[in-house]
Amino acid sequence: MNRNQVEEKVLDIIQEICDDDIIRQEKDINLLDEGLIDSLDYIDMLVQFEEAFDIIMSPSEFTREEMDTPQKIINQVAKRVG
Amino acid sequence: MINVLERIEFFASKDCDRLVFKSVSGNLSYGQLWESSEVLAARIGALEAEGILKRGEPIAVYGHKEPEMIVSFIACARMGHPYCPLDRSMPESRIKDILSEIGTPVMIRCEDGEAKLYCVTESKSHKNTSDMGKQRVFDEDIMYIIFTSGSTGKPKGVEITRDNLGNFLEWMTGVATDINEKEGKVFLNQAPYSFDLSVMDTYTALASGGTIVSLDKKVLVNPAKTMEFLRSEKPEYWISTPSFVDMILAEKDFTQEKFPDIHVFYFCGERLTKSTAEKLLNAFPDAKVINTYGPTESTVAISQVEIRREHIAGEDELPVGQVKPGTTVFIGMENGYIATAGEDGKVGEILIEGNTVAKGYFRAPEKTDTAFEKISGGRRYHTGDLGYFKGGLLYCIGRTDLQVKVHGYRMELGDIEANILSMKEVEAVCVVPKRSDGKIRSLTGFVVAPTMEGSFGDGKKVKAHLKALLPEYMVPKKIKFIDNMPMTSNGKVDRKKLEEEA
Repeated sequence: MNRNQVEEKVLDIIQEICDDDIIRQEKDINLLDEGLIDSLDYIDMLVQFEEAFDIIMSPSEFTREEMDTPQKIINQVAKRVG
Repeated sequence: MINVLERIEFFASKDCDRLVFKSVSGNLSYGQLWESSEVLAARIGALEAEGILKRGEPIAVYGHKEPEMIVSFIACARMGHPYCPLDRSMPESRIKDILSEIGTPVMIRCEDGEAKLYCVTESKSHKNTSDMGKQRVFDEDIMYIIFTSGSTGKPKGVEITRDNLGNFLEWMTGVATDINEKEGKVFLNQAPYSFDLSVMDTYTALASGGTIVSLDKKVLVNPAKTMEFLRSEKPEYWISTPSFVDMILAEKDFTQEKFPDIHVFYFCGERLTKSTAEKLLNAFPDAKVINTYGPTESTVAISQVEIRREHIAGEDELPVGQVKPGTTVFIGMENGYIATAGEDGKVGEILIEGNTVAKGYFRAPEKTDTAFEKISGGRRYHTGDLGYFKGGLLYCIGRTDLQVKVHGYRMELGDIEANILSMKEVEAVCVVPKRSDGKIRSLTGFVVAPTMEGSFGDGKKVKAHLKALLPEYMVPKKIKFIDNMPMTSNGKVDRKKLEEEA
């Protein structure tokens, strides 16, 4: 999977959870501050990344600031997919 | 019946240095709790002597997870004043509503390591005229008043008596393990004190001589810190909402091997799903998983059951269990028939009688009469929950009205709708739950507002308006703008259709 495919898949998952395409238009939007995801959504999202990319992502591995925008999430997932 | 004040005094003299409470805000021993609550009680007594406070008048206690919260509750109880816990996360306007509702002249604020007594003079002017001149009688038998969402947009206060609490504890302290086995053990507190799930952990610990380790919001927002807290504090009795344990279960380290001290999980406040129970039993094969059920109006919980694999394999949802001694549950069916526990499979409204049914709603006789039916020898509380009995166990499957629970927090959709409607641009509104796996996951608000574009920014505006009026957990996650409300054939808003679109 190349970087673009990873990005596309990550955005699909985030969009599905937020139910809003704003996350594609504004990749630096703060998902938590804007109320686009809550803490259970966040957990759901990590589980979906784990399944989609066969990686491990425990919530305690990240601070909020490392995972609060679509762009930062793409970077974190891409790092693990390698 | 358990007298919790006597129990605290007993542990304070038996082992005064034993820790009773710990959070990021500080520690408290049984000895300190007994002494500090005595000092605070004397200051409350002085306010009575000055005529500022009447005997039995409620006192608001404001804070979050400070040890002073517990000191304040116990001080109020020692002086015969009902306390009303208010959490720091509630918006200012909601707190004002509640303060004017209880009309208390005194508030305790727990901050900077102190329990500070304040006189709330302005609340006098809020009192509505119908109360003026009427002699108000206060009830020293009330232990606490917890406010819950009301369908018209104003919260209502549930009055729990000392006897209610004592009867609840008589049963609760023996659930899963004997009371003596609980002595000196560590109990996890996750819920804020304005949510009565906290009564289950905090008072069960106080009555058994246990230690409460309390999770602060500051810790909870950070998963790494939450895990660190759990690792260092080593809770043995876990009390939380199912949603909270779902979050912790996402951690690969949350297993019996890494957390060998946890031996009982108690759940209350919302539906425990089979998938959560199964994950827990897999991660903690030796721990007991206890599901409980009950409304705030009947002192936290009235039934319990240990969840086993056969419950998960069964065709029903998980049971909420066996009804406690001292309480009787009936099923009120639509045709007026009232079924008893022996009649399997009869579905209807869960009706509760017995020694933990609340006195009523604070200063709301009409609401009280509607929900608490007078019967010979007591009151029968109409829960609005739908349920049935099967094999001696109670099952709860939904609601008869528009009350919902989201992540354990109980709220009336009408309360949220009334507050959205107070926005001048909004002409019509309908809030519906969005479900996944049969459980409510979040709320969606459908809004008709012709002068708004319906952009992302407009949705934010509606949410900001609500955030100023309601606790954050009541703000719908998603606001959807529509041109007009879908109607059913008899002219009501078609909630079913909107739920499908949520």
